[in-house]
Amino acid sequence: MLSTPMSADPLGRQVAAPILSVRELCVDFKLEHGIVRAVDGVSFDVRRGEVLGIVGESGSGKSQILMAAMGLTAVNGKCSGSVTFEGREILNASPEKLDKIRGSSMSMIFQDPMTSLNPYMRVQDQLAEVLTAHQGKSRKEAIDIAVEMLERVRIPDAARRISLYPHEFSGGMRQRVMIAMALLCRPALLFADEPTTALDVTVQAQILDLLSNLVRDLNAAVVIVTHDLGVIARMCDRVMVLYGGRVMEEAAIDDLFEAPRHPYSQGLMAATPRLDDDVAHDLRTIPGAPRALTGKMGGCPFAPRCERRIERCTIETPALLRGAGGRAAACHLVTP
Amino acid sequence: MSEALLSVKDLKVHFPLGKGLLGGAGGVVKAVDGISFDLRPGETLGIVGESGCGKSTLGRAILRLTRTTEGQVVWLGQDFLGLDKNSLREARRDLQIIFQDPLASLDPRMTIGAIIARPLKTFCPDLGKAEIDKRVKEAMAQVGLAPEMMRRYPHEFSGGQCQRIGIARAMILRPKLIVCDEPVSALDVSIQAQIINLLRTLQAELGLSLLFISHNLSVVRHISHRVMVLYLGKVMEIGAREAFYANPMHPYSKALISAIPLPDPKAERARERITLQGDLPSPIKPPEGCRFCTRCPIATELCHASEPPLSPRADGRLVACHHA
Amino acid sequence: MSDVPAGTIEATLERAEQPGLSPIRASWRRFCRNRLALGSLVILGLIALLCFAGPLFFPYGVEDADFENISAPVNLFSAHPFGTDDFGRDLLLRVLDGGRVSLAVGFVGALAAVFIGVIYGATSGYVGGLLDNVLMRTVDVLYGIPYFFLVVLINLLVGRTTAGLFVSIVVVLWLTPAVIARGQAVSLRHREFVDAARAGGMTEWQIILQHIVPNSLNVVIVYSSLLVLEVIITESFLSFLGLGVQAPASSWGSLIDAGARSIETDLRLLLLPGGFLVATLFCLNFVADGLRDAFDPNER
Repeated sequence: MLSTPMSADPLGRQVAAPILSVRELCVDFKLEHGIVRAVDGVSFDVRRGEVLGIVGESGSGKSQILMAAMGLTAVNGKCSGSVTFEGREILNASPEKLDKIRGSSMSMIFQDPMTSLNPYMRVQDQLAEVLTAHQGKSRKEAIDIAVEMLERVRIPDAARRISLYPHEFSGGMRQRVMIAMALLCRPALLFADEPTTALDVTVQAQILDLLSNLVRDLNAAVVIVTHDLGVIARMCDRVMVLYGGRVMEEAAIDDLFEAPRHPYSQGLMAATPRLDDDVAHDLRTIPGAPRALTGKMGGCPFAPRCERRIERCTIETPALLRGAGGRAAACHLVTP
Repeated sequence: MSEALLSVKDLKVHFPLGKGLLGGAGGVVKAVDGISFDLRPGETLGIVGESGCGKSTLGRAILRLTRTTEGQVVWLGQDFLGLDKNSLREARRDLQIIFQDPLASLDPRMTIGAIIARPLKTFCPDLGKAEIDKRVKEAMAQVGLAPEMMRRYPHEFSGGQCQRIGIARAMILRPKLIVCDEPVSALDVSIQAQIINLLRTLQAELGLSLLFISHNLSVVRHISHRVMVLYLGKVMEIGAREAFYANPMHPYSKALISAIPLPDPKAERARERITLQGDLPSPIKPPEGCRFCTRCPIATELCHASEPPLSPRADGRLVACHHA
Repeated sequence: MSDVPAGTIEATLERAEQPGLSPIRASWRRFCRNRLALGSLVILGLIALLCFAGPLFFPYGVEDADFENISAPVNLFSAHPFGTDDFGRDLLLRVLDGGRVSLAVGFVGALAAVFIGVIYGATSGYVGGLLDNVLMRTVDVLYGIPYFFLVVLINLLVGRTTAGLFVSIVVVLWLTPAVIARGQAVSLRHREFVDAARAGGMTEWQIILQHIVPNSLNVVIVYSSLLVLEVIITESFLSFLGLGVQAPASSWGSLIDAGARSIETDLRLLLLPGGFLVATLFCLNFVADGLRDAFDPNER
């Protein structure tokens, strides 16, 4: 009996079928002054054992992709397109159906560990709840597994600390608890929304180490959303650059950082201060401000800030063209 | 140093915990615990450290926005902390501040023209309306804002533009020193670069001094002449930028630099990392001896027993470590 | 400047010349979109107009008794459209005149209470420390004194006049706005723009008047609209108990009191002032609701 269905990748090799497939995902929000499109036709696949990074600035719609896949889009939002998890459609699925998947085979780590843990519940109860609800374990069993998981995320003295309340943990420890909670049911797919943005650098380094080890052990598929190119470079296999709700460029990690092709990716990299660049000169900047969420606009969303803009850019939205080596770019001036 | 613009001597800011009419029992948070440094005219000092290291409190204490417990701030040769109300007001003309949250630092009920003009009206009440208008427009142009926008309100601007407004307000009196409290950490990468460049340009053109407070070592590297690393209210290392980044001496500085994820996957994989264990200790009960000893990879008995003084090294750097 | 990115200016220049929308005006626009609140405001305006201007069109005064028409019934086409009371005084005129007192005490009282409360609370919250403690504990003590005890005391001191009533209402009702304004000031004190103002050399008083008070306005506007309601009810209540407006002057409260005494013989005497009072209170409620939706930043 074959365990996983196979399909062919762009180079014709046989690879595992994607565990998560997103096709033409659009997320619209109804606001006071009209409808705003936060995510505009995003498609991607993630396979087991693969870490996909989604990088973008505020307003790029990066978090909304995860929210839509988790069925957590705000009430004034509407999602269209398709999101399949292990072959089943989960976009706009009923809460009952989603609850079966969420927390057991698909889970999420949020940016702010304080607001995503219930402050009035002991950590052990929050962790045990996940297991008793999804796997029908007894409370005793559940707490044992939870302690084991806390030890795996290297919380010292886990057996005692598990009975504390969230506010009794430091920021880094809380994020560990969140990670432990997300991994309790050994999910096949893990979403991480800015998992280390609220943390200090030295703590961030610990959490990133921890996360990459755990993910490798579980052989899960991971999608990390962040604005930090450093985190992407450290964690991911493949990266998708998002701007104004659209995918600008997609590539394997080394390819993108070695030779970004889309003007936005290039600008983003040049604007990021590094520890090894030349400080005698100013940083390169991208003129203007990130796109404010407005109604649907014609043309490339990056066109107003693009230095290489031609007339066609403001009229016709460039399609995401796929090229060799899994690279893709959406720009009239670039062939992937 | 006689030429110093600002000279901070053994500054301490302690916050008592739990206060009320009858006072409260409880400890003291030693947010800033004996920090000394000099700042020369036209120099940018980068102050880095993680949350809770006291870097923001230090900036606010220097401006007297927070009460200091002990120590001295010498500003242009006079004792700044001892100034009376009127002299303080006069001195504040030369000392300004830029904040982290660009929108929160602007009064939502004032037009940006009024916000930028505010310090002018405070210090030069005799200026005519036309002159104020002219100076406001100049300041706006200088920071890259269209002067026509002066009748609009802060909520109509993006984060980067709000930060430019904050900078224009700080610049309009032509101060000698600006304290920048995490001025770019709330901004997107592409905007962050614009603001860093703007501050660099303004500094070069006007010969300003900056105290640039940030948790981001890569940003600090781009703007500072010297770098000061804080940990739990104490200075760990101060040194010139080039020397500091090429060869950080204090184990904490090393760990900080090594913890930054590089935006370069190959370098990132090849790199040897020092990952610190544990979290920042509570500033209410800092560790005995060296503050850093609980997380230090090279700590010895000596470090737990006695606190290392901030002592000069060969290249003019000051480092507080027994073993560096 | 070489550094200025061209895009920044270009992108915003088209709309740049027109002045921006101030938060107050934005809130007012939101309020105007609320039909119920706007309608209530119009009705309230009409009631006020009627009470203040109406009596001018009567050929006789409030106290003038028409001995030929004592206890005249409702007859819309007679000289006394809503009839007269048992002294022959025109009922409609009395109600309108009573409304004048009720509304004046309501609005002026609320305004005075809010003004005192906001200055007191904003100072206390902004300055903080010992002064805050002393001022707020004083408020706590005043809160602790029973309300009626205070009213009777002031009545004794000032005399049972409309002015006395006014003072006692203000003395009791300024406490809550003070507490609310203090809360606002405490949260504003830690906002960065206040630090910026201090670093900019403004004096404490300048900061209170130019930053703290205007930014507390949202809450204050919403709260004062609720306070007007409260003051009118309090006034009516006190007058109903005989502690407020004394005859021959009248307010809706004292008229309802008089009407209640003849509830079995002549219901009109109760219904007319009661109707006016209820209509006013309803309208005030809807207006306050609309203001809250429009001004409260947390609702957005």
